Amino acid sequence: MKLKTKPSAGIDAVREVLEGYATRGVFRSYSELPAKGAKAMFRFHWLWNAPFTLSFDAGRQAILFEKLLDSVPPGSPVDLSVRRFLTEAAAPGRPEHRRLDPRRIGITVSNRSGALTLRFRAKDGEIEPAVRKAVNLVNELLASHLSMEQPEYLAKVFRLPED
Amino acid sequence: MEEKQKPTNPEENKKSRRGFLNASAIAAAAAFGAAPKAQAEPGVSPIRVPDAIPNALNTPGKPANWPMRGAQIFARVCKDEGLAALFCCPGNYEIINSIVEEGIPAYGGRTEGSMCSAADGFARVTGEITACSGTEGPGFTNMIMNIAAANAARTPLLVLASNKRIADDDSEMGIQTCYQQPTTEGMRKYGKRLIDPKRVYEYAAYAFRQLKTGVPSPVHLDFPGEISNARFKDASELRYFHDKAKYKTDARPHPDPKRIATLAGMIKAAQRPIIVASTGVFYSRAWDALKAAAEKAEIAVVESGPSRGHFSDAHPLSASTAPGALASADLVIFIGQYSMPNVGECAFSPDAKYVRIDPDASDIGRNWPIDFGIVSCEKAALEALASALPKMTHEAWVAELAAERKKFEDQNAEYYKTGLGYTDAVHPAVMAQELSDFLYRGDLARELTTVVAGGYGIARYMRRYLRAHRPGQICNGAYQYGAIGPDCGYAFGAAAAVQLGAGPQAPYKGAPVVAITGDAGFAYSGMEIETMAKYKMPVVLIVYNNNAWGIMSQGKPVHMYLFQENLRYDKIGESLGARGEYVTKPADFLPALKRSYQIAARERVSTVINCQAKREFWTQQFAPGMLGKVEPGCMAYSH
Repeated sequence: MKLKTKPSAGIDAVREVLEGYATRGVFRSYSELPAKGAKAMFRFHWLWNAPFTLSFDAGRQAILFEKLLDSVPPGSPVDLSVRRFLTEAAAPGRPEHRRLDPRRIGITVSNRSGALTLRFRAKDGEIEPAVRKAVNLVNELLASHLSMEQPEYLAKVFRLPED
Repeated sequence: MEEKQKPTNPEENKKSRRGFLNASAIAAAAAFGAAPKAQAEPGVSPIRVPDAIPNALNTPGKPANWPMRGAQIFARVCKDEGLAALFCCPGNYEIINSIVEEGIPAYGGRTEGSMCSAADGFARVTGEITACSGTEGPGFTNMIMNIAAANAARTPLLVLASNKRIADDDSEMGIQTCYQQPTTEGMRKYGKRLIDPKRVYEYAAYAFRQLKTGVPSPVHLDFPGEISNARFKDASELRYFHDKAKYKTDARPHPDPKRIATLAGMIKAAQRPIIVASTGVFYSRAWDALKAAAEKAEIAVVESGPSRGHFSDAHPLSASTAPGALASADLVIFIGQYSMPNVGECAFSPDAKYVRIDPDASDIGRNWPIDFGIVSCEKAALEALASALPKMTHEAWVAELAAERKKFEDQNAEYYKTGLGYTDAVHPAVMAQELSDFLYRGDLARELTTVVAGGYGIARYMRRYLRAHRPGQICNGAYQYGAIGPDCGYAFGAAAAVQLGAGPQAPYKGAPVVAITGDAGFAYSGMEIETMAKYKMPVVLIVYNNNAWGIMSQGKPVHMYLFQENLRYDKIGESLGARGEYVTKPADFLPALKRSYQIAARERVSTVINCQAKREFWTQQFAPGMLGKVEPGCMAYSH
């Protein structure tokens, strides 16, 4: 697919969205690391005041939450739960405002040595809505889905007060 | 004025421990009937309530007249300010006896901590101001965990304790030396050790000014001997003596009309607005205004807080049992959310706009970032909003709420089906579903029964199935402080509130109360079953007995996490004057529940239902295992 935007324009779009969250106080301790070629990296504290890293590969139009979750053996209940959630996010029965349109955004989950990375690719080259969708899906995955299904794992990994 | 040193006449003998029970009297005393049925065995004297108790309860109070003691002056202010009830153990005699004589409902229990929680529980289901009391040293410090829990719940709780004479400061004269005020620092709104007898009325005013304005929380007063025993021939001997209209105002902060107009505009622009109705909505009694505002613009409402029911779960706009809908909201309006979540602790979208309405401007913006704030009493804000909003509809949003509620109920039904498959012990999903069916889908009016939802692991199931249909119907046990121990105390307080028909409990006066706790929690306050029996409080106490603390551990430390197996909490109940039911199979739970409820309603006798479970239910070996939660809504307890 031919890109609609230049790589730098894509980074600008990601930066603008993320800075918007930081300005609103949703992200804290927000910073942008020096770009490596067409790849930009952003760090911020977000859910439960935990640190998150989002990177953007402008060449591939991909937004990555690298090592979003660790200590997740492949095929474990947490691994399966994450994959099921992401599959259901594109289900036709889901409300449109929360539904992931697979024609516009592709999701890949990779598990390397127990570290889960989520990769969102803007198939249509529309970066801004893809970033928002990625951030919202991760929010829902952690603050809703895993909070409900895997509370003990979440408490352990994010060091949440459990009792 | 003179300080009184020792009791010198029979009237003052009430201050002794022995005299305390005889002096206790409650307004509901007329309802007090015969003693509970004893579990008599041949040759063993049966448990009985001595005649002295109903006799005392049926004796009218004797409000004091000049000359008065400091304690009586304080008690008079309590009466004038509408203190709803006192829960205590012996000690602080001058104060508690004076409060009883003023005709304020009062109850004496087995531990000060549990009585403090009883006062908390009473407030959580009525919205009324309550008091607890203990003696200066061990009695007061026994209440610490319970005061902290009340503080986390923002309960308008008046904590009272005696203290040794100022003249004996630092001397360790006698017993129970304790500097109290530093102990409650960080777990109260206001505290004061009274040091000048002439200012007793003034500090009573301080207390009620704090309890009745702004964001509520506990107020702690300690009374050195010189204060409560001081004698005053008339008001001229008091340094301050005012009418209550002179020391505080009933005025409430009203919202800026321009800000209400802006909020109405934000709601108009939103597609999926939601109100998070929390603690302040309940304490400001704003449920009618909330309903009016929500219905006018089809705004979803989700509850949070230490009590539930100020917006019915059965309402088509309720999102309290629709956790899947929370991430869809594009405008979130927190109202009276005193215990504020941090980002990540609520399931809302990072793209939603956030509004906070709170009486305390200094708290708006704490933890959760906001886009717009309104300083106001919750009720005033909701009334203004209902008036300012144009009639509008959000049909797709209402349909999404209904779909998500159904999804949640379907999940509950699935858990129940799974739970029924475990036949060698009682699974929590079975207890929760069958209790829910009994309370809301059977012969009982669904609004009738007030429930105390306590425990740890069992609470994660119960919260999903319990429903609130009117204000004060559910006391959310652990709430933010996470204490699992106070449940029996909460249950006693809630039962007292229902027996009195206090506040929003008035239409349900006399109904049984249902409480749920775990075997770990039971240990902290289970002795209050005796207090329930003594006062004929009809409580059905369900104990989830899984032979362990809720936290699992393996290896060498495991002995610290386990109890002996198959302990009989029902037998403890029987030995304290209540009934016992022993349930070991799923099929036996509902019949035991029905029997217990009927006897509670008919005879005002409490029952302990011991449900034998197993600790492995919290593991993945027994799906669905330990359940998680999403906040806000019916599962919420952190905020």
